[in-house]
Amino acid sequence: MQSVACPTCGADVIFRSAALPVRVCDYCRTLVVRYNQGAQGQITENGGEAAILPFDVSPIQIGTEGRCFDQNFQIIGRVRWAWDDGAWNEWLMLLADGSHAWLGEAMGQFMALREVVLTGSLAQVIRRLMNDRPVKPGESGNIDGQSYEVADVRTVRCIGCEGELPFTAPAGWETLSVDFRNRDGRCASFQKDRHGPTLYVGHHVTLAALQPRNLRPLPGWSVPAYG
Amino acid sequence: MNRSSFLYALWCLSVMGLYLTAASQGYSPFADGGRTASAARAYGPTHK
Amino acid sequence: MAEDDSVRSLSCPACGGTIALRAAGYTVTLACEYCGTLIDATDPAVRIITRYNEMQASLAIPLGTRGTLRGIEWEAIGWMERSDGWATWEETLLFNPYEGYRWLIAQNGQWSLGTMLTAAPQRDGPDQIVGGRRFTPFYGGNTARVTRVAGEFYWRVKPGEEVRASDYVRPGFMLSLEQDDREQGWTISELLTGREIRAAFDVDPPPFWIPGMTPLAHQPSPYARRIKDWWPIAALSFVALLVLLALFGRTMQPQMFSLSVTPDGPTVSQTFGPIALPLGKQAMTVEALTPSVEQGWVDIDVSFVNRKTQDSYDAYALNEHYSGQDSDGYWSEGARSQTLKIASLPAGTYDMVVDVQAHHWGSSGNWAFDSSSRTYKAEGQPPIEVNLTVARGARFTSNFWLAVLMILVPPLLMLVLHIMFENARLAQKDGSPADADDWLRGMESP
Repeated sequence: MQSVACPTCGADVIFRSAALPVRVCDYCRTLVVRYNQGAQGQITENGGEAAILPFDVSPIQIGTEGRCFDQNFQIIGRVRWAWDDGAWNEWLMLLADGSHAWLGEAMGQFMALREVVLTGSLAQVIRRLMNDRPVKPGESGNIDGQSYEVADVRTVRCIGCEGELPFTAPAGWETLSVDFRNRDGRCASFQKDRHGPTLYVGHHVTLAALQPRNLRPLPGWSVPAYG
Repeated sequence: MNRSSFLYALWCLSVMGLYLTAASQGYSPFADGGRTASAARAYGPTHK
Repeated sequence: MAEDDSVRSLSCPACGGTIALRAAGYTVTLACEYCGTLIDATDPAVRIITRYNEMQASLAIPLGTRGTLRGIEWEAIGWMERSDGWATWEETLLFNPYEGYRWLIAQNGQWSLGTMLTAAPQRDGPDQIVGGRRFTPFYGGNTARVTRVAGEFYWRVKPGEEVRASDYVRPGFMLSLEQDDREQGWTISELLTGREIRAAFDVDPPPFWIPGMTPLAHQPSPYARRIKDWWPIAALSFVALLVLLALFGRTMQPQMFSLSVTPDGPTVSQTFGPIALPLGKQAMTVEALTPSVEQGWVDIDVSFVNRKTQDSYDAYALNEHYSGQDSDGYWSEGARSQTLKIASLPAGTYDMVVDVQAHHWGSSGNWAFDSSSRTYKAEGQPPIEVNLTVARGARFTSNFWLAVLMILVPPLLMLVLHIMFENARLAQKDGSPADADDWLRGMESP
């Protein structure tokens, strides 16, 4: 854990993960980037202010804990994405071994995803996506030794973020997002923006399977007792 | 047991009851013989 | 969090009414519950998508209603009506922030609970397999079109929106694929029992299927369930009847009587007795045996006459036997023995009055003209012995089969109704016509 002062408002900005370079100041919403362990936070070059997150009724919040990938995790950040017809959350999980993973939350369903390296022999579908060629839902291809189907293809933009992040996520940042799923409940997500492609692989989870603690209480609803 | 099964079981029981009644009365609608329709064969005068 | 309520309220830009936003953050489209205007909920300024003058339909489950279905509390937040050209159905979107979304699909008064799948089904020939359960194709390549909407949705739904839909069924469940150019999604809907849906949301009970109604593609035949529930009862009853058949109807105290009669001779009438019947009513069994009848027949009339009341209980037996040689060799037909069962004789003392007449058939033997009957009669035929065995009691197998038939009538009726139900259900099937597999599948339990 490391604490720095926000370069804009001077408030304490706490980094819980040693590996993550970006933190949104909880008070003034400045994107604080850490260049090395000792350095002061700085405002990013491209404007630096994260949009205020719109109100939503997600059951997850920063500080929610649980188990995923056979480890304990804690939610430390979030990016909210939107496309023409909807929006969803990508929650950043800090795992017990210090690595991080994403918990995607869309349409009330959850996906636990970890980044994989885009090397080696890639499926034709992935190579076409990397070359900006069109891909349709229903097409199939192998990722990481598993057969997947394309579930949806859309261009999305970042509409807000909070907490700690592995990258700067300025509002309006656009990326191509392609979701895959297979018959075992595994899923994958391919994203490509102007910086390049990334691939995430994981599986669908239910909230109950995460054995979550410290869920966000929502007035009018009782928090289920898990575990 | 649901209601329809109960009613059917009741039906089966009543069929068996009918069978038992018929057996105890030595009755069958398909018997080779029984009481003659022409009733009693009276012998002797009927004059009163 | 600054918010202290999970419901946001905003005012409709069209009519000014205050509307509640129940799934903030997920909801994209909000239809004003007063005027039906579609509002873009992603726009902080709240923008009108489509303005409607049409008043809201009166919904079976009003939006905002909460109900507990299978232990989870749900709130109805959206409603839409969809049509594929010939069928129209309604879908109510249920929301619980900790559980996500479910759909309540209402068609023909039946309710199904729809859950979106996260795993793609496994294809096996024309079928799809989800979690080890096989779904067979039913509707193929229909276009489902949204006709009316109200409330909140997690995508930008609007009337006229179309998806291509294919449906696979197994009794009680439907697996639906809906796709457009951007995404494809699988949903499993499970038919809810009337009790379940009524306990959760106060709706009208689903109608019970009767001939003439159109069943849903995944509606399990209510008659198949009955047939399956009933057959152990029928089998048990059959066994019980077999036991009853064995226990009752034994014959007791046999008495033997005999007389002889000349073929084409006069009718022999003889009275035997007394035959005593103790308490109650009982049947009598008379076995009439004519061991020597050949090329002829014997008419045997048996009457039991109650000595006290002179009531008569009659039966008739015809014993006959014919044989000969033809190109195929020896042939014979007819029975030399008959068993007569006489029903329900009251207790008392009886005489058995037997009238026997024997006849000869054929051209062999000596013939003489009988002037009284003006016919030719055989002469010189040996007399025929008639042996009568009389016993108390009788085993009526006809009663047994009648009882078996009566036990089978209700299941057979259910089978007929089941066939009518499956005919009506499978008549809606797209693609290849219904085959034996579809029929057998209709018998499976949900």
